[in-house]
Amino acid sequence: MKAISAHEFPPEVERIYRRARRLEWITLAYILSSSLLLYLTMGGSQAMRTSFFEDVISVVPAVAFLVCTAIARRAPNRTYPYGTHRATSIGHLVAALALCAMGLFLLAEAGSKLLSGEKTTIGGYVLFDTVIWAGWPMLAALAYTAIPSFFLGRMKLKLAPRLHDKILHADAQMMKADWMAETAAAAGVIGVGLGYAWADPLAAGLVSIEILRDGGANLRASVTDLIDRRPERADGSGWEHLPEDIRERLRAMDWVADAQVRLRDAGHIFLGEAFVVPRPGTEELMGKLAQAAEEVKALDWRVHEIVLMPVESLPEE
Amino acid sequence: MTRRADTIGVVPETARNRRRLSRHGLVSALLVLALAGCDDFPKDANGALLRARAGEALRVGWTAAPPWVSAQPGSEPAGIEPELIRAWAKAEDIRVVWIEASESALVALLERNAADIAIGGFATDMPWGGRIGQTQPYFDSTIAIGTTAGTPVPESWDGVAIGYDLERPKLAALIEAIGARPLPVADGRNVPIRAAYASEFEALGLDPAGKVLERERRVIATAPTENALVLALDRFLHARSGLAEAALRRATLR
Repeated sequence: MKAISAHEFPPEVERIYRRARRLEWITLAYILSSSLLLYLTMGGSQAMRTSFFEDVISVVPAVAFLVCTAIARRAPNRTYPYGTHRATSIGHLVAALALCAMGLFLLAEAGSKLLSGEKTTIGGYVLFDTVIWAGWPMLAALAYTAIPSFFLGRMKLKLAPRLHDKILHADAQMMKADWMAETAAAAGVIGVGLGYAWADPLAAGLVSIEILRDGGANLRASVTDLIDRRPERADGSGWEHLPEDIRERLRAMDWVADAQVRLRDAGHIFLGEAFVVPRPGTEELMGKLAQAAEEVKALDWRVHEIVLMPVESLPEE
Repeated sequence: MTRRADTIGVVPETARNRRRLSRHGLVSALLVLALAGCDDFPKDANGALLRARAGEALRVGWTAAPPWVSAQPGSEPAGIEPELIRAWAKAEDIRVVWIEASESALVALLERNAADIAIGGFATDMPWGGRIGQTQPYFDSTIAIGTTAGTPVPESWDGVAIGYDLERPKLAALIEAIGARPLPVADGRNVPIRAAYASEFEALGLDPAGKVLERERRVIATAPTENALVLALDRFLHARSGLAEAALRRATLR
């Protein structure tokens, strides 16, 4: 069986890919170190278990990216004639589920806290033999963990569309979920300090709804990609215009009477077919088809393989 | 298509985030500065400390749990924790009214803001800690077995008679838990082997037998989200951290 071509990224995109990988390793080290810090400072408490669970979920998209994009780069062979590009789509599904889990988890936490009548009280904390309000060290710790998430998320958000990588985009939203949850916790601490015990679960509840929305959008995008819906941009900002661009390019060729194109998202890249109606009396059709295929692939690095099929007429759209 | 671009588009979102961040950053920085400069931050949800400082009596619920809180003739409790509360109230120039109730009734009083503080030998592991407020642990108490001079430490605790103050029935359960036999002793009487707080050993003439029955971190409970009250108590308890141990010694000698 003929396999599709082997490369994943052209050289300029390869550089972006390496940067993204580096960012993900940094993310992994950062989340591991912060959960270790939590473990050492809070040892065994309920709050510690909650944060630890959050850390475990928030590391999922980063791991999915590192594993799945590495698998996606394997060259096609007899057994995998289409390559392993779809690993990226599976990774996106995993990352989307992690986002949903994070949102649900935070929502359940906030809800149970509101319903059980638990009320936070923040009193004193002994620091260097003086008693200060315990809210201040809490705010400092929250800022310490939220700020790296904020910048890592911003950097990933910029790289994701250039790499056409939806795992990276979902991971950027996970970073956003991280710092938003921490900001909500900080708002809760200040709210409690002002005497409003409900501020804490309310802020967490609002943020969890925003995270759930992101998770839902990613879940929908990843599932519809897997059922070969027409390609969407990696950041979910709208349809890819490539199928129309390719069709226009083909129809602009003087030997082409009409053309139709279908593309599907196979992870980082697109695969698809173009049906071309040659004008009557076209000579050297084989050569023209081969040349047209090259031209179409040159439109965008993500057009990985397109099969050109000469037909007598096009079906009704 | 355009709908989605509006909601989760990358370019508008980053721009929006940047605006949101700078505004949020500024607002929260100002807020933190303003709060740090405030005299009455943190606040009490129900204003217990402010009311007490303004002359209204602070309502302190109590339940007997010797030696931390013990009943005495009259309506006012004695023991280590009432002593701490009295010392704090004196330093703050606050008036106290005492409310006696069972432990579970005290929790309900605190939750309804019908009491401001509750004492009763509470420790950090109390099961309703999330529903009410509590101070930082003001004293780490250790219950251990001690022997009088010349009494050999048994190799096994199985069936050994261990004395305990009959006013502290909780000790009996701890003694039974290691397989020994609890022996109620009236206060002040001597027995060769006895379970007591480590701080009391000297007064009771005991040497540690190397067996710890329980370690607990003592706290004082408050009504929920009375942050300023807890902070004021924490400051006092930390500054006078020797008070609890001294009171425990005194309680034993008496």
